[in-house]
Amino acid sequence: MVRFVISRLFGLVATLFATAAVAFFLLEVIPGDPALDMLGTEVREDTLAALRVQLGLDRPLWLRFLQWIGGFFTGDLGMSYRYRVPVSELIADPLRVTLPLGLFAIVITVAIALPLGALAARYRGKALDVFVTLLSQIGLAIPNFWFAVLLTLVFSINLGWFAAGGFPGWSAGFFEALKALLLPALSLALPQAAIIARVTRSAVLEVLDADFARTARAKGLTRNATLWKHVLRNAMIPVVTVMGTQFTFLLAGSIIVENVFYLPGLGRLIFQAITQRDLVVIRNVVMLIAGLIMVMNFLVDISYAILNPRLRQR
Amino acid sequence: MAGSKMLNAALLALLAMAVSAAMPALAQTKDTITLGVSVEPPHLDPSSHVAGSIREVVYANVFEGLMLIGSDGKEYPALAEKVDMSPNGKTYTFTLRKGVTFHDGTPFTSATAKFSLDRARGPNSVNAGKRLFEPIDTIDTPAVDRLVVTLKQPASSFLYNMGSADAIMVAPATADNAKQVPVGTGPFKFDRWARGDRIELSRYEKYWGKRANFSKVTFRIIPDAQAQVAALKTGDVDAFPVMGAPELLNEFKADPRFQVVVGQTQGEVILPMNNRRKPFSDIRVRRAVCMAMDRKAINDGAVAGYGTPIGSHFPPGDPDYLDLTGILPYNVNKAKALLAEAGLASGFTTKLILPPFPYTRRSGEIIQALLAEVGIKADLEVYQGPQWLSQVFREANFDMTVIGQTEPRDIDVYARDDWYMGYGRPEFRALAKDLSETASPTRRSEVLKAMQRMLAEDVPACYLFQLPKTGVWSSKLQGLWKDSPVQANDLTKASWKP
Repeated sequence: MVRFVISRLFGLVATLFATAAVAFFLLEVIPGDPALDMLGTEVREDTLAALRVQLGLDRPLWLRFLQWIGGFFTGDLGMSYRYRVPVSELIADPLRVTLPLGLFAIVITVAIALPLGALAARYRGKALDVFVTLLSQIGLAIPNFWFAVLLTLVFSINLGWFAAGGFPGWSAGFFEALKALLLPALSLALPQAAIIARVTRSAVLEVLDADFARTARAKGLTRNATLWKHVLRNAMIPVVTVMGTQFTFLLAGSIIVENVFYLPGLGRLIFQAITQRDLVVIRNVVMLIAGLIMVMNFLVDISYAILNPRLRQR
Repeated sequence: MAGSKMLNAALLALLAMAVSAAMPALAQTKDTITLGVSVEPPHLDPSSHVAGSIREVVYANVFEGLMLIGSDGKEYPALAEKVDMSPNGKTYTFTLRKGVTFHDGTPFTSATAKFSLDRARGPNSVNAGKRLFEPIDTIDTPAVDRLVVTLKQPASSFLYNMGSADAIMVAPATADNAKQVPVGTGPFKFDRWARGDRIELSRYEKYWGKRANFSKVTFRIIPDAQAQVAALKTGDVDAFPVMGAPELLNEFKADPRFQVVVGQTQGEVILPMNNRRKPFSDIRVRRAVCMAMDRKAINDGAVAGYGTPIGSHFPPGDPDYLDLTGILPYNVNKAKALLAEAGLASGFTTKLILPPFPYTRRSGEIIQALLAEVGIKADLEVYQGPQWLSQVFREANFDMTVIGQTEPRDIDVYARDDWYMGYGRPEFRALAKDLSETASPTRRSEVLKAMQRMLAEDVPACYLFQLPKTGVWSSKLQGLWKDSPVQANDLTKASWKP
């Protein structure tokens, strides 16, 4: 088990380094000058040169790369070109919006999708199964930003139950903050729930046909007890796999959903950084997202070993 | 059983959320205002960045200059009580107001004014408008309330330029951190900035002038146009001075809770052509392109018809404006004839570069269709802002592009050597020189009209329409600017109706 974990960790670090190199050098190649963008069309040459020095753009490329990598250990990730504050400061607050939003979306997804998928499998062929399959088809087809606008229209504008967007901050109270994240989390959760429900359904169906399930029923366990105690646990492996990959789409979806609900999160930060060519922010947020995804996949790998003891030998 | 406990907790949480959701939103107290803006400023110091988003928050609200520019586009004395100009036009004596303090209590004196101006024009300055300070020769402070600025040669727009956001007054102790914590002399002081979300100002009780009508001002940052509409309708925001979806204005016009105020900006939307490159070096080709432009169609498609068609590089709201839209009117046959005369009867292929603003992209698509009608095949390419600046503006590596030039009083840019369009007519340069040196308003007006006419005939770019300022705000608000002669949200005269 230990060797398993260590080899996975090694792979994680190597991938992160490769990602950092690609992110850094690729961004530097794109045309466009941050200093010019900040000073506009009326600027004089000497002002431009002065700003370039201030931004550190006069130093050689490889040196800047190494300084950035070194910064991961000291916590100094560089200064944002546009905002002129340390990137670590800039990322801190949006993280407190996007991470809870993502977690909230996952909780909603799991709470909806797992039971629905399991029940659809249990009552296969019956009305419930058809209904769940239909719902998941619709959920897959609807783009999450469209759903977000729909939710706003119904619940904010027409019913007035929620603000149209914005985030009051965790200091405004736990429930206030959660309320602001509810509609966005629902918009993110919908397509995820649709996918997870389908995967759960087919995974459970497969396991329901397995020998040990039939043995449990033969032993005298009720259908429900069999489902929840034995079948579901074994069906989790494909479900966990898919959830791991869906996490990526969750982060990507947050860019759009945060824009619709004007949430000051990571998605918005990187979107703005891209349009303003704030390379420092872009590469750091890219690394953060890449890191989160790799950690997530790492955890998924570890969870396999936990769920299925046979895998620990590898 | 453990399951039911969890279920109870979950139900309780849902109930709590439902209850708090059902509680009515706090009624808007009548002395605060929430404005929506679509672009978050990079920071809050206008004297070190060109972005209009900075000015839209701090100009006249937090920071002031010796002069300020009003809603009519004219400069008026602000921190200077009065200004005397010497007969030769080279020396300006500013008598400064007394008893003015910065938000941290620092007194404003002639020394502070000299510091601010020297900071803007100094060798290490990163002020985007450093050009404006070039005419200054020396700055003297003969008394604590007197500032004497001597120019190298007369500059008729000097006072106007001192009203620009590049020329705001800052204090030595707080100038370096003005980006994060702006400390000015204006009627509002900076409270906090929750990045990505909002900027909060509150009334400065020791302001030298008329007390502000709002105790608190909040700028909400909402880039997405649909979200802006939602924010207005739910009352999250009281005003959107520039609402991003002009095609939705009719919804607000029909709603008695709102007023729709459409005004003028300083933004001319134009179709620049690279005059250095074939075939645009031939004036007949440029004229043909302009005659293929159906200004009404472009205006309708890009800004829902709220713009004003223009014939030259000058805003229709300005008193010196000449309506030259008739010089090269929309005429497909004449356009084709001119192209044939220039030897391009079968048309040609060209690249049309579009910056990513909604109005440029929409205009670009319509223009492509219009050009096709005269046999010109235009391939569209969308560039991000910084890329447009580098490649089109700095390197002049382009054929055609669409852009809104939003700097006020910028008709003289065509006289610059390195102007990206490559328009180098000496007669125009002579006019521009005349303009900068003359002090007589009648002569100014004559020169401006002559410059407009020259551009309308030479068409280094096709002149399409003036960008509208599409403002939507609560019908209970008054005193917000209708037009945008400079980029600003001056709240000094705004208030809730009694």
